[in-house]
Amino acid sequence: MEVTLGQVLALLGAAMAVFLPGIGSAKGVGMVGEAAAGVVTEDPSKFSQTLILQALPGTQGIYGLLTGFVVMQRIGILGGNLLPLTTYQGLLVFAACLPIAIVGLLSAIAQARAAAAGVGIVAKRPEELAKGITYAAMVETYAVLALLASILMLFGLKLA
Amino acid sequence: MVREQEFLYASGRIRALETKLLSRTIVERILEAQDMDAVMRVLSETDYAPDFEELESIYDFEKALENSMKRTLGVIKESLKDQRVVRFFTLKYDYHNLKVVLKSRILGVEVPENLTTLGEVPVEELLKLSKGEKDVAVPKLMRLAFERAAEVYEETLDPQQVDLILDRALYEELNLLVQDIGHDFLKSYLAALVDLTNIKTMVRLKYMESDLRTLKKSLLPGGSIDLEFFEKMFQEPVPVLIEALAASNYSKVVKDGLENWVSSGSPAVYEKLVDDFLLGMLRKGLYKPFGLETVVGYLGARENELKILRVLMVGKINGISEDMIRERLRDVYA
Repeated sequence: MEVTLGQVLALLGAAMAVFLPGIGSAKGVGMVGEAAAGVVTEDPSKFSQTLILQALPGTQGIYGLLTGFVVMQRIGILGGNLLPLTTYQGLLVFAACLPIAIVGLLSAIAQARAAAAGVGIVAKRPEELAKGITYAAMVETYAVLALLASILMLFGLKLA
Repeated sequence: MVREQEFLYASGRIRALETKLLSRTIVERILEAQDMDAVMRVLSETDYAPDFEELESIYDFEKALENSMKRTLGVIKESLKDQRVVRFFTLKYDYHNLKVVLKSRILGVEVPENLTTLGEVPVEELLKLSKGEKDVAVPKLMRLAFERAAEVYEETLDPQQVDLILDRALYEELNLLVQDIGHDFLKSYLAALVDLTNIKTMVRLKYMESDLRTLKKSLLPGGSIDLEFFEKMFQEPVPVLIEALAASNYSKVVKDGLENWVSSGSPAVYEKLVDDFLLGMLRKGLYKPFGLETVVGYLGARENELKILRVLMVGKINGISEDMIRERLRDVYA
């Protein structure tokens, strides 16, 4: 089978949709984890509350993987029958991956900062955990919007 | 340059520790305590309980304060990879020991008193240095300062020169350290500390009718106010100084503090206002989720707490009235 440039570009898009938000989430979850470990060193009873906050920046990685799967399904790589994409089709798929790739990376880190601040709330006023979660969850909006944009574009493309 | 993210773990830990800082209520209760037993009862509810329990006599309270600070420094050191920020706080203890060791040598005292265990250079090494041994594990800058102070003392036979030279050396090293860390928050904090100390030095020397040469030797380096300013103001009366600093950040501290100094003849209120001003700067650490500010703020808050307790304990032990103590009492951090 002849590999086309379009196929390469489409797969590159899928890869970016997975790895960039993945990096962001790994960094973000790590950051909140460090701050949470500091609090738990002094007060082990705060473990479960801080764990919730730590998980928040992890969603971007999942959105990226989801987008990657949609691309793989759309270009037929999942069934083993890669579609013969033209260069322009490949570029379209690549473009559709950009929103979640870039917003996923940056929003995960931004969310981690808000969540790390939330860890500070838990340290001082554990009863206000919900407020800390809400502040961090606001950042989620933009990751969801980027996911939505990427998915809508991918489903709208005519590839076959 | 330090990265904010290196402070994540320490900041989380500090967030939990900040809840154990003395609250205004505790300070009030100590202040209102009828006798030392009542003071000890209040302290037993705080984080200081283990340190005060160990004491044989309440007059040794300084030991308890030192132990509690030592614990704090240990916690922060083990939470940070880069220890330079902690060094910013511990350096002064080493220079304090350096002074004590040199002065003891001058007085011919074998075992120096008033040494602190909060420094990072082992006291044994400092004693070896003072005995003139080669090959001692004392950092180069400190060793040079010690030798210079010893030399000048031998020329002048004035023990005050030891303080002047070692204080200057301490601040020179602090400036180097802060440049090395390269964080704006720490730079502005040190500059304010130096400025406010220089203002105090200048006014004190004016009252002592000292000369310009002593002033030049006593002013510390690294402030945001030029040393020429102080040399010029040295000839003027205090109200002119207050006027000249009216547009600076320190206007309120200088006005209220120095006016009180002029009328009462005591720098106590100025010193309190300076400490409150610096604590206000440090409070940035309270509101920053994580970073160098959080660590510096907490360590500064702990030192401030020791000052509060020192004023309270000395006041209570000597039966000084509540109002007199209150006047000298610093604000709390959180």
